[in-house]
Amino acid sequence: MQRVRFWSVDPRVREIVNNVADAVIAIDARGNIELFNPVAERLFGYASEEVMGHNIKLLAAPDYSRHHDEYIARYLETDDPHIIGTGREVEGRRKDGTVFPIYLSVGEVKVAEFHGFIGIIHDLTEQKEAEKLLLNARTYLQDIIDSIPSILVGVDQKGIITHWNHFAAAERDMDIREGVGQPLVKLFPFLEAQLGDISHAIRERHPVRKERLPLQNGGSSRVIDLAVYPLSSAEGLGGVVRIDDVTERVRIEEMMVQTEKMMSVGGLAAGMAHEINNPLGIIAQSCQNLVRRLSDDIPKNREVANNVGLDLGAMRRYMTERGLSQFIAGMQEATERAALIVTEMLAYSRRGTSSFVPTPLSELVETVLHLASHDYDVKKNYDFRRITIERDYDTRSDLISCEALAIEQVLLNVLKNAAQAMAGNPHQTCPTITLRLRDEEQWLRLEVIDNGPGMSAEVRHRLFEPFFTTKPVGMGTGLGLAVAYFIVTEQHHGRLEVESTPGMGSKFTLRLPRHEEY
Amino acid sequence: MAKVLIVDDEELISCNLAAYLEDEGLEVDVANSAEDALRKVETGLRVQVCIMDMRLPDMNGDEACQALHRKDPEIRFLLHTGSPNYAISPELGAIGIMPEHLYRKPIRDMAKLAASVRALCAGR
Repeated sequence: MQRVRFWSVDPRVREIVNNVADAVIAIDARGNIELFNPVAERLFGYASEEVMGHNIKLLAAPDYSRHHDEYIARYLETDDPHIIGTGREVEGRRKDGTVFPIYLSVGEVKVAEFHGFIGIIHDLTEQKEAEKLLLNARTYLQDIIDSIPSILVGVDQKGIITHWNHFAAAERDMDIREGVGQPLVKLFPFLEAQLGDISHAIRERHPVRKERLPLQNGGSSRVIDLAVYPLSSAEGLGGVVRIDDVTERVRIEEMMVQTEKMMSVGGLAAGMAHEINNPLGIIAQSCQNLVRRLSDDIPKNREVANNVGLDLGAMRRYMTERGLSQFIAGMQEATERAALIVTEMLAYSRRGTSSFVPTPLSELVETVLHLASHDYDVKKNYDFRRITIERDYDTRSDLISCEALAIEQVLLNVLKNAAQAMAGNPHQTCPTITLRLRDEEQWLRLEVIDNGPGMSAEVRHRLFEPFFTTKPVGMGTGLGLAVAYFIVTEQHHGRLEVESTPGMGSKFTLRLPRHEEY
Repeated sequence: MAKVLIVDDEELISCNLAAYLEDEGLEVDVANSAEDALRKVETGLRVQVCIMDMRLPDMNGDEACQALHRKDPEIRFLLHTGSPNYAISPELGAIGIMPEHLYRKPIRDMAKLAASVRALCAGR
């Protein structure tokens, strides 16, 4: 037996081979197994006798096995060492057919008439498992930070990005692999002004939080919360920058504050009305009685006047001369006005969905435009007919369940507001109101866009507040838009919002909920 | 002479209405609470028309009208309220009170109220 002869030459060699910690397998030039040590037996699950003389392909994974003959042939023909003298990761196959990762290093053996190869095989199963676990852990961590709906960016002390999450990459419209290695401010220029604070936080290892930072980003304004957390365990210094876009939240909060204000006024109005109407009644009726009891039409008046020696005719002349009659008329008129304000406030703070009927919004718009064009008011100095109306309607249906008269009131108030605003801008030579109607998931949206003077942020924030007016005393009650807001939000569960840029005009957006398909 | 009973806890309201109606030649009595009104009717006051404030300290106007009606079904009612959202209840509708019998404060011209009182007295 050739193999026995060769490997039995020196028992010391056999002893070494049998006791190394890795699997040792020798093959002859045809690839037949000549030597199979105990570790190899354990690793592959074959007894030595089972594999002796069999081709080494028996132990290789199918892919590798298929080409093994070629590898040996190529080497013998070309002398290209390829794997010989080095090693690489391949896959082995156990007796039970399972495939497992190994590190194989191959050496050539030429002794006397024997020419073959010796392979040392290290089991990589555990190492691969560990690598896999590590990779899983990394993927898991990345998944976690990617699932956080904030922009998260890891930076070193120089402000170079070392890591970032999905939201951060999406913000820049980049692939998640692209950002690493770039300067933070290059990808997030709006952080330029915050860079001092960021590096301070990292250097001093002291977290920094800044809330509601307003950003001007081109035409749109955003509000962000910024937090910088220093990383204490990192090699060298570093930190995590977290950015949350809170624009929407801030806007909703503003709306809620406003709604709350409205609600309290609405609640107050009902109780107040009763309390005010009583004294108003007293004033109104006292005036009426005063006038009546000063006249000589009533016999009782004449009788009492006579008893006390009063000349009623002289009395009336005196009242006219000294303006007393006018004072009384003034009181009556003022009472009427006060009563009207109470009625208006109440009419629109009342709740209820009494007469909700599906109505085409565009028809309501037309009714109101017709009304408005006849509402030329010299005192208010605007003429609706001077304004160009552009209609931009694109909806599958503009039928909306609403209280038609109330929504007409809303549209009229919003349109009058736009017309009055534009009248206050004499430089605008072609005042235009664009009416844009659109579908929006569960809403029907109407935008009323004017090219008037616009308004400041301060005015915009107070716009829907009851009694807030920018007009001179006596020109407006300050209730028009508050009433519109009430009707839309309280009665119709819709939304009324305003956007404006001073000098550019204003946009009122009305959203009414679609309750069903028509 | 027609007898009118004004029920209101605001003395100046009652006294103004009373003054006007008296000048119109009507005989007027005043009560400042529901209890006061009920006592007057119980003790023999004959009332043709009652002008009822709908918010009284001891009882709401709804209940007061019903209580008075039980005492004397001949009494006709005019309602006087400071709440602009007030609507006539079915119970009051059942005893013949109609929307035209409702007066909201402040009454701008008491001549209409006087005319209503006369109409009710005349059985209209």
